[in-house]
Amino acid sequence: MKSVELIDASKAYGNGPSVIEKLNVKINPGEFFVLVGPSGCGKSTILRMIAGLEDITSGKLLIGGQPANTLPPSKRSLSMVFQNYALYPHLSVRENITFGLKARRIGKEVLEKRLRDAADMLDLGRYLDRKPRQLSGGQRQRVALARSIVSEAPICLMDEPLSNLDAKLRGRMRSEIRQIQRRIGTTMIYVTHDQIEAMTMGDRMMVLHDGHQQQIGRPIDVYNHPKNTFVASFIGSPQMNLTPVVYDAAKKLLRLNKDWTLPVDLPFSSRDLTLGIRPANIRPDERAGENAIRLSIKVSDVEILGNETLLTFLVNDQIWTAKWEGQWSIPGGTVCQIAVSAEDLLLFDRENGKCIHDPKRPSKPEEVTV
Amino acid sequence: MRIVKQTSLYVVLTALSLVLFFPMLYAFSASFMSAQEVLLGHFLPSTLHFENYLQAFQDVPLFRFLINSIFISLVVTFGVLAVSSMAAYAFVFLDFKGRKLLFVLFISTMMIPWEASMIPNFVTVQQLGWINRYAGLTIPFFASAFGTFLLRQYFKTIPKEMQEAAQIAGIGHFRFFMNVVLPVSKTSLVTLGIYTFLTTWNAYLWPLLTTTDELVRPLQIGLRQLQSQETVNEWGVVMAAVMVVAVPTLIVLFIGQKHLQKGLTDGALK
Repeated sequence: MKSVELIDASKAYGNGPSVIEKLNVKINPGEFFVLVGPSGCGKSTILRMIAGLEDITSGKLLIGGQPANTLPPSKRSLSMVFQNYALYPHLSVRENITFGLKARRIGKEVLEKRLRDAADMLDLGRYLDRKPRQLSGGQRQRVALARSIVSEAPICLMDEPLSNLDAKLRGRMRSEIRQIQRRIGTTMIYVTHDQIEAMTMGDRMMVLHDGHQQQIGRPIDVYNHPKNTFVASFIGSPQMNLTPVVYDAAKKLLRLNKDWTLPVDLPFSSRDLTLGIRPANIRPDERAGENAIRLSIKVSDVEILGNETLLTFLVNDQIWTAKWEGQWSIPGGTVCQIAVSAEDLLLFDRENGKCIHDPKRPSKPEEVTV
Repeated sequence: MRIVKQTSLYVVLTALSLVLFFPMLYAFSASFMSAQEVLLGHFLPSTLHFENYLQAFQDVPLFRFLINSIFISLVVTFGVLAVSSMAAYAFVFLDFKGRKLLFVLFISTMMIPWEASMIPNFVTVQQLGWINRYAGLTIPFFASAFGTFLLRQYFKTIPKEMQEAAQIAGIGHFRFFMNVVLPVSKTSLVTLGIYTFLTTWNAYLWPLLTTTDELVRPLQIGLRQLQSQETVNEWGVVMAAVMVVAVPTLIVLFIGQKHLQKGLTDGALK
C-alpha cells in the first residue's frame, strides 16, 4: 500500500484565481481518508489532481514517497470509482470488470481468479453476463467497485460513489465499502459532500471550503473540536447553534442580548464573539447538573423522531435547535427552561471565525492541523 | 370514430404514396414493354418482355458498371466512416489548442457548394494522375465535414468519465476508440454509412468528369449512355436498366431503415 502526500498543492484554471489553495496533507498507507465539503469547494478537483486527470498548477504530489506530478494516470498505481460509475454500456458485467486487466495483458488464469474473488466479495456472481442497463443502481455501483478491486491498485479514489443511490442502500453500501477497504487494506481517498459519510467511514477527514483546507483530523475530533465556525456548522446534524455574543470581562458574562446573559469566566478581555453549542448539549432543565447555566425559552416547534426529540426556539432572532433524548410532547409556544454547561460552550472570534475557547480540547492537540 | 379516422388516414396515405411512386411503378411496368407499347402510352405490358433486361446488359457493359458502382460506393462508405470517426474522436476526446477554431473551420466548409470547388478538385485529381482510376472516384470523398459533424455530436454524449476510467486503467486512445467509442456509436455509424453509400451510388457529375474509360465508370453514367443510344426506339430497355440501378439502393434502404430512423431520432433527442 502506498501513501499520498500533497505539499503546497494549488490549482488554477488559465490565469484565473486559484480554485485550490496551498493544500498540505499526508495520507498514510492503508488509511481511509475522506475529503468533505459543500459542493463547489474543490474536493473533486483535488481527487482529479491526485488521479492525474487535472494538472497541478504548483506544489508537489508524492505517491509512495515518489514525485508523481507528471506521471500519466495509468502509472500512478491507483484505481478510481466515479459518481456515475462510468461503466461501458455495450460490455457485459464480466467484460466491464476485466476490461482494464486485459489492456494490461494479465494472464487468463490470474484474471479469472481476480474476477471470481471480486464477484464473490460483492455478490455479483449471478449478474456477470448481464449488461449494465439490466442492473439496478446498487448493482451498477458494485460493478464499479469490482472493477476497482480487480485492478489491485494500492490506492483507490472514490468520487461521491453513493450519491446516486437511495438512502437505505446508501447506508448499506457505506459499511460494505468500509469493510472491503479494511479487508484489502488499500489506501482510500473518498470524496463526499455528505457529512454522515465522512463521520462514519473515514479514519481521518479533511474539511474543505472554497478551495481552502479547514481542518484535518479524526472525524470525532473534528466534531468535538471544530477549528472554526465553518467546520462547526458543516459537521454535525442538526448543525451547531451559532449566535453572536459579547464578552463582558468586567462582569464575567457572555451577553446574548439585553435580557440573556451567561455567567462564564474567560481568560480574555471584552470582545465580540460567536457562541457555538451543539444541539445535543442543550439539556432539559431537570436533567442538567448543579452547575449548569439555565435559560428560559419559548418553544416554536417540536419534532419527535422516535427515540429523540428536536426542539426549535429563537435566541436573538436566530433559530436554535436542541436535541433531547426520549419523546417530549411539548406544545408550541410553551415557555420552558433549558440548561447548558459552561464546558460545552465553544467560542469563536467573530472577525475570522477561529475557535478561541474550547474547554474540552486536550492541551496537546491529537492531530496537527494547518 | 377511431376506425373512421384510421381508414381515412390510410386512404389519404395510399393515394399520396401512389402519386409519389407512380414514376417508379411506371418505370417497372415499362421495363417489360416492347418499344411500340411504350410509345402507344400503355400502362401495363400486354406480354412480359424479359429480353429488355438482356438487351440492356448487351448494349452497354451494365454488369461492369454495376460492379464498379458497388465497389466505389463501398470503398467511399468505409473510407468516410474511418476518416470521419477518427476526426470526430480527435475533436471530442483529444485536448489541443485551437480545437474549437479548427472545428468551426472544418464545419464551415459545409457552406461551400460542392460544385464550386469542383474545378480545383478536378485539377488536383488530374495532376495526381487519377483520371480513369478508382482512386479519383473514391479518395476525394473520404474527408466528410458532414460525417465528422454527425459523429462528433454523438461522441459528445459519451460521458467523459468513461474516457477517464480508461485512462486510469491504462487503456490507450486507439483501444478506447476501437473498443468503446465505435461500438457505443453503432447507430450513428450505420446512419452515416447508409447516407454515404446512397450519395455515392447516385453521384453523376464527378464520375462523368473524371472518367472516360468504361472499365471504371459507375452505373449512373452507363444509364445515361444507354439512354442516348436507345432513346429513339427502346424505352423498355432503358427502363430495365433503371430498375437495375435502383434495386441495390432499395435493398440498402430496407436493411438500414430501422437503424436510420433510430440514428436520426437519437440525434434529435439529445
